[in-house]
Amino acid sequence: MKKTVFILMVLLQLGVFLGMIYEKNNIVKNGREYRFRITYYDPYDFMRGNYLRISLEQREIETKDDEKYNREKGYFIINEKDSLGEIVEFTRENPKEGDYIKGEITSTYNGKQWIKNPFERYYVEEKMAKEMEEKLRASNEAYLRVKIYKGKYVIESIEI
Amino acid sequence: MSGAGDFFKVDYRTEGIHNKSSYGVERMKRKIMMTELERLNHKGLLDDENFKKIREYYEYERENSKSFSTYLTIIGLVMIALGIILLFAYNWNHLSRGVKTSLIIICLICSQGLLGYALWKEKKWSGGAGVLVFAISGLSIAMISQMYNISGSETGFYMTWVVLNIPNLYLCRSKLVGIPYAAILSLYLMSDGYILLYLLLTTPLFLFDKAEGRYSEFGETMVKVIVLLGIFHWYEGLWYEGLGLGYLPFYGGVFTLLYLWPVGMKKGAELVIIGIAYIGTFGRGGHLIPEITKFTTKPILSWGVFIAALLSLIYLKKWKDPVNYFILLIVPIVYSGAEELICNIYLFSLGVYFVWNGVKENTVKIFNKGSLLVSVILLSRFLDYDISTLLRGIVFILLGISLVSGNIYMSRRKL
Repeated sequence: MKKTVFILMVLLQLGVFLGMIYEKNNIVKNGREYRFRITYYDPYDFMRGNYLRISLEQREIETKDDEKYNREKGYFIINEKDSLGEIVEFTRENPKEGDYIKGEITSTYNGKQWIKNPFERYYVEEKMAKEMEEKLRASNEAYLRVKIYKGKYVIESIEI
Repeated sequence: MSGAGDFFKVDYRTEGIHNKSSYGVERMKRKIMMTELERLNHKGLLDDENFKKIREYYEYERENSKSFSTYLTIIGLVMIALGIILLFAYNWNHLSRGVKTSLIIICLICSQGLLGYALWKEKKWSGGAGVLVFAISGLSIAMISQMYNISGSETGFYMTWVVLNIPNLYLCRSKLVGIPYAAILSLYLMSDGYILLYLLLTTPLFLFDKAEGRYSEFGETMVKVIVLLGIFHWYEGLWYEGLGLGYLPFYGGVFTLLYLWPVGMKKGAELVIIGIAYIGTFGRGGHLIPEITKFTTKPILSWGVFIAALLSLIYLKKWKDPVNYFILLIVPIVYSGAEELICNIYLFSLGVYFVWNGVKENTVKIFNKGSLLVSVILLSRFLDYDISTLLRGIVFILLGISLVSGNIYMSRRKL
């Protein structure tokens, strides 16, 4: 019994990890790339180290229906406009087609739906985090390269 | 009775460890005593059962004395786990995802291998090795979001982490693994997790522990406190969103359940219940901590907990002891938002019951507990400026007269 449980634990822990790696690599390989304009600052996570807290420049979307969402979870439909990625619509149902990611509307006000930032973290080395922050202050223009595939995403890099 | 879970007990024995010569003398004494006991057993002066019990007790003592080195090993393994976490937290941007993945797999397999070795060869290390596996398995999932920069939900991360370690809990049966398990599980609930899933995932903590029936008291308490904190935090969230059903009835019910069930929290639960009733004696809290004295408007959850406590009373066959009814009464009393008079009567009666029970069983501890309770209630009311001086005076005199006459009556009956 003990041996079986031990083997089960080993397989489970390795299997879940490898399964997740496979899924993410699949997004990198098959996902469509988008660029989003962003701003950021530099906090720390006890397990994953330094990261840049990213904030999308786009904060809201036009309301397309009469529903007033408040802390509503669903999906953001993503399109490309002027070679930049843009969240164009919020839907509660899984779109199944086109590019989309999971998202949340925090509130609806004045005909606009305020979006909860879907891309929050970009992990970097401590030194690099500070360098990037300084570069951003100088240029004030940064883009996030994201690959999206079947509702899931992987952040590839930041362009300053 | 070895096992890493017992390592906390080492604190009580450090004196003997520092003094090597007295340690040797102790060992010699123990050996002489065992020889003597064996002789008594052979002569039939000490029966086999008692001889076995005494021998097991001293064997347990001897093994515990070895636990200082086990303690150091465990601390070492925990430090290694933390060090690995910090190393990966550095990010290493110049390393490719493939290299990072391989390094994590190597760490995971090594920690699992060490746990396997500990389980079958060096059992005393199993707690520490279990913590190492717990940490590295969590790290492996955390690294996915680091490598691919996924924000994701922390709720899913915490849940996956604990689920992956249920077999670890089963294998180690150590509170050393139980404490981080409970902590991460509480984080799951605090990050918008589901209460039912939370309660379900707490069961391995107690289920696997009971299977061998050995645990360190400190570790056990830690786990219970962390699990309870998770529940309280969840309830705070309900209250914040306007769904809370009143603090006092809910906590009264939860602690009544803890009081009735044999989970080793009887004394603590009793203290909390007395505390709740005491707050009630001020009449909706008066000026004392007003935030926690909100009474309920929606009965379902509080009464649910109360009924569960009532059924427990019947199931556990504890209905013979009147104190259990007293404890159970706390929910309806605080639920009804009862006037302070009822809370005062309740607590005063509980105190008197303790005094009476202490005298009956000749137990000074229970007697003192009751006396203290009665004294606190009397003193609080004496100093309670919300009640008119006249009323206080009359109540005190009447209570005094009834106590004196009651005592005179009882003593005459004995004569």
